[in-house]
Formats: sequence, structure tokens, C-alpha cells
Amino acid sequence: MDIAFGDRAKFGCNPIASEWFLTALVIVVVIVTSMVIMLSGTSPELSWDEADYAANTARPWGVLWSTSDDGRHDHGPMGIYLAKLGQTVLSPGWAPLEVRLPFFGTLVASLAVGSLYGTLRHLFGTSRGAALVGSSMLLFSAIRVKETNIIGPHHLMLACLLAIVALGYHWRDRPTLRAGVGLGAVMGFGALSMT
Amino acid sequence: MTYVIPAALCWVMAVSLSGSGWLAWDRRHFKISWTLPVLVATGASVLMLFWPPGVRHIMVIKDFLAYLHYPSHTTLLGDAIFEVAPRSAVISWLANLDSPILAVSSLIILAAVWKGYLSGRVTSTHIYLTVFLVFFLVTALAAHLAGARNLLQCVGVMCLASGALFDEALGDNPKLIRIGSVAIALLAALNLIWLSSSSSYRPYFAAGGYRSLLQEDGGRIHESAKAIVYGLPILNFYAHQSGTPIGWDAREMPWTTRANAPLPADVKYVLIPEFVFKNMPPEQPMRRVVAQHWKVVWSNKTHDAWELGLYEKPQPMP
Repeated sequence: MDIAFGDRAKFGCNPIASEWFLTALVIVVVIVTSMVIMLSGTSPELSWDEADYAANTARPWGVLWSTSDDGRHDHGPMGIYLAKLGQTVLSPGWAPLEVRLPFFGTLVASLAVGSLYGTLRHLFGTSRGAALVGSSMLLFSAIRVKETNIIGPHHLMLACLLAIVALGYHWRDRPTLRAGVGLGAVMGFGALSMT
Repeated sequence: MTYVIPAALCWVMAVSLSGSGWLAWDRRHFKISWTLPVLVATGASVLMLFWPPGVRHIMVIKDFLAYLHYPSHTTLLGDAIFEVAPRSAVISWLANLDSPILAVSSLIILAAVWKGYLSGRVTSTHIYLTVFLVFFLVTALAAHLAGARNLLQCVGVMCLASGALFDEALGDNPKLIRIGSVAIALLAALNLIWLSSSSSYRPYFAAGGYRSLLQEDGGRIHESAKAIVYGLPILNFYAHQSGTPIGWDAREMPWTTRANAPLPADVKYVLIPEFVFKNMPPEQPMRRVVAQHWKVVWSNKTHDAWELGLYEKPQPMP
């Protein structure tokens, strides 16, 4: 009990820990807000591109994994994988199809917007206000929320691009093994999203 | 547009100009860090793990080249459909949809550049962000324009750069930064709320009515007749989901503004959304013939989607 109390007291007084806690809190709020406005602001039925991608979810995982002739619009299959994951994992009683299919794509897109706050605050070393400016403008962008299909490559590529800019900046003077593996993994995800 | 290869090239440019150790030139040699092959190998391994054809059939390169030579794409801009969207569409979309981002980003970036010029201090952060901003703005302007979604990557970089340069642009004044940041966040939120509630704005992709058509108009859907449909993947998807068989010999509407777009004489039904029967050029057959002379036999209109109309060809008089 004493140790736990001591840790709490230490945590409460430590400005660095408080700052990280605040950053984590803001990121969570941004992610949840983004998911709500994306899922509520999207098209009431699947759009042309989304329906074309979603048709592939009827195919088995192994076929999606091993072929390149599907209706993927000359992009990587990650958008289709995430739509199929939503259809497979989420119960039909939980939400309509128009929420289950884009759910994991929305999650990745929202993680990108939330992480932008942390990137600005801790990698670019900005004030909280400046980090809020960058993340809130992207959070409420009409082009992002209203004009971009959720099932598809654009949001996933944006997540990849923001990660490349952030990690590339962080490691710009440090070409270490960790930097190579980290950036390579992000670019690999980008290739899976938007070739 | 395809982006991972351009994004990787942009990053290489940015670190070679603003960083150290990744790429370097001297009088005789071009030096590459051993980490770059590690990066490429890791990326290829991730791709191989999750999608083998991406590496085995070099789909990443093939897709990139396909999009590099991609022809124009017909698209809706404002209240008109263009066969080839003008380059000014980039500014038009930003100004009409994301004016806070356009205005705030421009002001912050210009203020940061001005302060950097006055102080004579250009940091590696400035160079790094400038490379990304210029690269993605030029890419957005140069690539084919299929809709405002093509600007999403550019918008993301603009937001990131605005946040990174915000303190500097406001002279590191804490009070100004606090007030400014709250005002900008509110402005961005209000812009989205205003657009969402505006009766004059409807997103390009706001599809609706296909599910209702399958439920409400089963008789015609089961007919063995030729039909032209805008959004055939949507109709097929919902038909598959609901287990409703479609009797039509349907094909996708040719997505063109041309006056000679095909409208075969044996087509009985045409299913098109509002932006086709209202915003296509008047000489396009979907508007000149179908919207003008055919009979609307079913339609669906909701506040958050384009109206969808089913047109039937008039029967010849006996």
C-alpha cells in the first residue's frame, strides 16, 4: 500500500509524467471524437468505391492474401482486410453493416489524427496549443470526414504518411537499425494500403 | 493517385537536405547509409508477409506506374460535372470545404517564413517541413483529380506543418498561442458543423436509396430487362446482402460527360443519382434524353444523400 501510495504521489508531482498523461488523455479524446464524427458523417449507404471494395469481403482470407486480381483499384489490400475484419469480428446485432465494415478503417484513421497531437507535442516539441491546432484542424477537416471513403486506401495512407513525417523527423540525424526497421515497417504498411 | 513511393521519395529528399547520415554527397562519392537497405528489406518483408503478390508480382511498382500514366477522371466540382477537372479545383475544394485549414495554414506558414527571413535563421525543421509541403502540394496539383479525396495527403501535411510552426509564427507568446489555438479549433469544428447542416452542400459520395429500391420496388427489379445503373457495385452489394435476385441485364453507366455517351435503344430502365440528372452537361444523354423525356417510376430522397431516381423508357404509341 505504501509503495502504491508513494507512486501515486510521485506521479501526481512529476511534471513529465503529468505531461505524458495529459497527452495520452488528449489523444484518446481525439480518437473517440474522430471515430464518432467519421461514422456518423459518412454516407448512409456504401458509396461506389466502398461497395466495390466491400464486395471482396465475400472472398476467403487466403484468396485475398494470395491474389492480386481482385477489385482493389490498383491499391494494396489493407482496406479490404480491415473491412473483412469488421464484418467477421463485429456482431451484426451490435451495429449495421455500414458501421461494421468501415469500423477498423475508422479506427486506423482516427489513431492517425490522435497521434498527430503526440507527434507535434513530443517529437516537434511544440506547445499544447500548437499541437491542438494541428490535430483539431485535421480532426474536423471536411475533406477528411465528408469527402473521403472510409473503406479504401486514402485514410490508411494518411496514417502512413503522418507516421513517415513524424518518425522520419525524429530519426533524421540517426540512421540506426531501429530507424531502418521502424520506417521500413511504416512504408510496408503504406504499400499494403495505397501501393 | 498512389502514394507510398512518392512519400518514400519525399522522405529521402527531406532527410538528405535536412538530416545527416542517411544520404551524403562529396566531390567524388554518393554515400548511402547501411540503414537504407534495412529499411527497404523491412518494408518488403512486411508486404511479403501480408500480401505476397505485392512483392512477387512487383504490384507496388506496377500500380505506381499505372497511376503515373492514369488518364483524366470525370468528377463533380461544385454543381457541374467535368470530364477533366481543372487544376483550379484544388483551390476550389480547399476554399469551399476546408477554408479554415487553407487560411490558417497559409497564414502560419507565411508568418514562420517571414520570421525566419527576418532572423536569418533557417533550421533543419524548416527545411524538412518545406520539402514535404512543396512535394505534396505539387503532387496534388499535378496528379489526376478524381475528387476532393485526392487532397487528403496534402491536407494532412498542411495540418502537421501548421502545428509545428504555430509557436514560431506567434512569436512564442503563450497567451496568444492559447487564445489562437482555441479559436482555430472552434473555427474548424464550426466549419464542419455548418457544412453538415447546409442544405446547399452534399458530399460527392453520399449514396442512398439502393437498399430502399430493393425493398420497395421488387417488381421492376425482377424484370428481365436491360438497365443502365450508376453505382452497379452498390446495387449488387445490397442485393447480395439482402438475398434479392436482380432480373435486370444491368451495366454501369458510362462515366463521361460526352454527348455521344452510349444509351442503347433496348435499355428500359436507368437508375441515376441527382448529380447525374441535374449536374451533367445538358447535351449528355442521361440528361438530354433520360431526365428530359423518360418517366420517373421510383425515387428516393433523404436529407443526407443524393436523390436516387429510377427512370423508365416511354413505350411507343400503338
